[in-house]
Amino acid sequence: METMRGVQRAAASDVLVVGAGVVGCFIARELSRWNLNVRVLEAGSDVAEGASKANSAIVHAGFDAKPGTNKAKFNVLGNRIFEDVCRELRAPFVRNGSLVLAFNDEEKAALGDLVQKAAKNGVPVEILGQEELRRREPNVSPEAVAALWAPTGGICCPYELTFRAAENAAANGVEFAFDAKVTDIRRADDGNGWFVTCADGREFAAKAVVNVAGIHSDELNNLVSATKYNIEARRGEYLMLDKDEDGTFSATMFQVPSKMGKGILVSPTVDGTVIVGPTAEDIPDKEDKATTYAGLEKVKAGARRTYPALPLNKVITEFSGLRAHETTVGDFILGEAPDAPMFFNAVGVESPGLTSAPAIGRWMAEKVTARLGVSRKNPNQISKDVSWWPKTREMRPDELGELVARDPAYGRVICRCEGVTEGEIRAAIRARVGARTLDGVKRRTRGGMGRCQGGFCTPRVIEILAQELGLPPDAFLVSRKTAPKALGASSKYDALNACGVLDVLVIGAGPAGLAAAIAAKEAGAANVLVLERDDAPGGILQQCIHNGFGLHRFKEELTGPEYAYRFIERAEELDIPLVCGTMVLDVQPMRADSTSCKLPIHVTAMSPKGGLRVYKAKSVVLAMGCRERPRGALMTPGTRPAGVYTAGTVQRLVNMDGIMPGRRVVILGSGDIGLIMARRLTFSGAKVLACVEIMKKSSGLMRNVVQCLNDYNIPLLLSHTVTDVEGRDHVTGVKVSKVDDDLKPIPGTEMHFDCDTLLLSCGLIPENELTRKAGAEIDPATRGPKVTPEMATTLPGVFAAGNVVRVYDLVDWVSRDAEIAGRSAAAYALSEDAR
Amino acid sequence: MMRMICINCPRGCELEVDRNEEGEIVVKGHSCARGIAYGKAEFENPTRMVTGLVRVAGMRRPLPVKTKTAVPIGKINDVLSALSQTTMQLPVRIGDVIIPDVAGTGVDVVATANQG
Repeated sequence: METMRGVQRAAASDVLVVGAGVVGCFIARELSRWNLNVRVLEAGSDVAEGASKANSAIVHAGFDAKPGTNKAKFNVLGNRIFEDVCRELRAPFVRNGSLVLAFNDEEKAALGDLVQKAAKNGVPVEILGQEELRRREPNVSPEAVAALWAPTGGICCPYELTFRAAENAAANGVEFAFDAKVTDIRRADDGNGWFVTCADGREFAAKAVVNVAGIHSDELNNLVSATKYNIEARRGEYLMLDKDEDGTFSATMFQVPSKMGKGILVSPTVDGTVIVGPTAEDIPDKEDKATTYAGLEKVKAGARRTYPALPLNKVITEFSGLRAHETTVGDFILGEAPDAPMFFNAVGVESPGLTSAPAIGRWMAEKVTARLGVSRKNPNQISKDVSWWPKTREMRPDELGELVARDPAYGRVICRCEGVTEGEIRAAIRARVGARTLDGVKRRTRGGMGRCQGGFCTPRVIEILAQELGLPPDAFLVSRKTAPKALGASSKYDALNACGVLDVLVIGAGPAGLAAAIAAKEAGAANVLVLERDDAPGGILQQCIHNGFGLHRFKEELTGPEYAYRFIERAEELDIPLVCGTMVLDVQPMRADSTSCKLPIHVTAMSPKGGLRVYKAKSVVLAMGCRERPRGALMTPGTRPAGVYTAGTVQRLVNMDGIMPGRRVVILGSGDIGLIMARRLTFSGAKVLACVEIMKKSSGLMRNVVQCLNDYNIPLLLSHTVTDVEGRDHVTGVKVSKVDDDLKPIPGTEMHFDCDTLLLSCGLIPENELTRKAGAEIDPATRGPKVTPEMATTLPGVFAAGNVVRVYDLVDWVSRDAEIAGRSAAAYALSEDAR
Repeated sequence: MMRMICINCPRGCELEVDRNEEGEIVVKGHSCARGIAYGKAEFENPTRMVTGLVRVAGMRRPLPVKTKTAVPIGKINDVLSALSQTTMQLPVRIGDVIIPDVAGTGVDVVATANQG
């Protein structure tokens, strides 16, 4: 009776794959080529939630695995087929080669051992002398005396690889069940097959079970087999460096491996960033993915051995991953459990597990299908589909123009740091195994993965997710009916376009851009145009609903929207077109052609309605503003839960999207936006527990300290910083410590705050990607372009205004200086005419 | 005696304000005349401009508003609760009165953005 009831209740399939990491998805994909019903159960809400999302992303050559082990066998096999597999799945792969550095004679000898291992494993390697090493990698430490070169090493994108494998598996009939944490596995009463129970009560039945549960795979095995395994979580912490560092190294730079692993590496990634890490530390808690102060210090110290000039100001994020290190066997444990028929294990798959995944997938599918006695599908029945969508950042301008004409959603940039459009995000959500979370969108599209770490795009991605998934209006994802407005090019623009070359083109319709455009027009420039990426003009002032603006300029106290409106109104009076929803992608400075005839500045921009468009102008004013320093740039240790936001992101959520992110708040940093948000959140019913500032005095205006903190008895803890962020899914608390004169935390001074939200207000960085691309010289002190008193950059005809030049305290001074830029740009354009 | 930090400039003078035997308000610790005026005002009747949000019927985006002039600090909570009980219909223009004489302060709450 038990069996009968079980059969009726449980969803039945031929094979259950438990775990949707990279190995599980490859096994599922291979199984989908056979005449089988396959279902994947995953404890998390998405594929690649475990080690597959947080690792070095290296396709190892296979020279250091112990010869004769599964690790060696599958590493070498996996490396051999990796490129073809990535091509099939349309996932990125680069065979950049690997170098193992030796810094002394002892390590040089260790390289010799690696050469012997490599020969046994059938991996081509050669030893390079110091001179050759330096020639290939000019940024490597001069202390490195020799290196092992393994040309077959490569790099890939582990999560893209995983979800493309999952998409292809799903295209061939594999079903995925998420949030399905397996708590029990028992054999069917008649001995044929298995019943699997999940934490939420769901039951599944199958003839065979494949255990690919990563860090928890020992627990699943131990439920059914007398051969017990033990997995320890071996944590690795990493730092990620900005795309500015692209090209620093061409190969993956290893150090001589130890018994704990392959040591701290420095490697390019397929995304153009540089990855640094990992540490190797056995920890008792299999869920503890926090980064630590000590761990990050180790990463820095280890990386500096390879790369002495490691630039810490280029760190965009830090993270940690857990390796599933099996302690009894110490190798990949693959195959049917000896005392549990039809229960297959892939246990202890740590590094080189990513490299091995495609090979393990094939091998496992052969084993399982042989035992089940099933046949292969006819090859022409097997779909090659991987739910691919166009990646606009990789497209040529003409391709992009055609795409946007077909689907305007590909013309609306959501993540400006990585150039990810609405079309890509919608495609990622609509895929077979589509994104359901902010992280899911991030890993599938890179939206939110760039240098601002989601500071600008998070509210916009939430909006798209809510729309696509039709979510109920709960705490965070409230929007269901407010469709994003796409204003696109205005009719005023079309009239202007007929004129050909503009006098002054302004990039950005925030306070700086508006003031510059108005001043240019008033100074006699006839054709002035403003391009704005947001759906409305006003820039960041739209969300600054507090008062305190305009005391100097207008001698009265205005709110942000009121201050902006005075300029918007004036621009309209002057008939200056403000073209919204338009993202500038490129500024091509003025140059002489072969006839030494001057060509105007070319500005390439994209909008949903207008597609890709090239504007020509005699002069340009850069007014793109600034962005906030994200958490990653601060290197705060701890977990990476939801509930950590930059102050400006929360300002937008609360003031424009009507969303309250939390109820108990700690603020790190005492910048003005943080202070303002302390008061706003208090007004909105939250309890702000403290504002924590590492320096000896607040970086915000005195007025804001008094009127935003003191008025509401919110403590300002000077010379303190956040030393730990707690909480797995969502922030549950933070630890705050006093710091010494070197800003190092003082042990024994820790305080704990129970909170659900951590706000960061730790400074602003001028947003100068366009400026840099255009070739203007950057001032390292301000991080903005070098400018003359007339606000001219080092490029002829290119001027700059506002926070793109340097971070201002008061908008009044932004307007004043922007007017200088606008007048200078007008004068330049008029002088060009005279010539 | 009241201690406070003057907010007129980044210098942030620490003021001590008290009433002397003649009943006059005396400010100490200031560096300029603005400090005296600030100290006296904060001592006698500290006021703040309140900015906030009100709901808009049928829309997710709230409407930003402010008190037209500053209100006594003690009235801030009453102003906020009046805002939370208000729902507006669009369109609204900058300067439109949203709540006249909010919380008996004699001050109007006005819109600070154009919406709809």
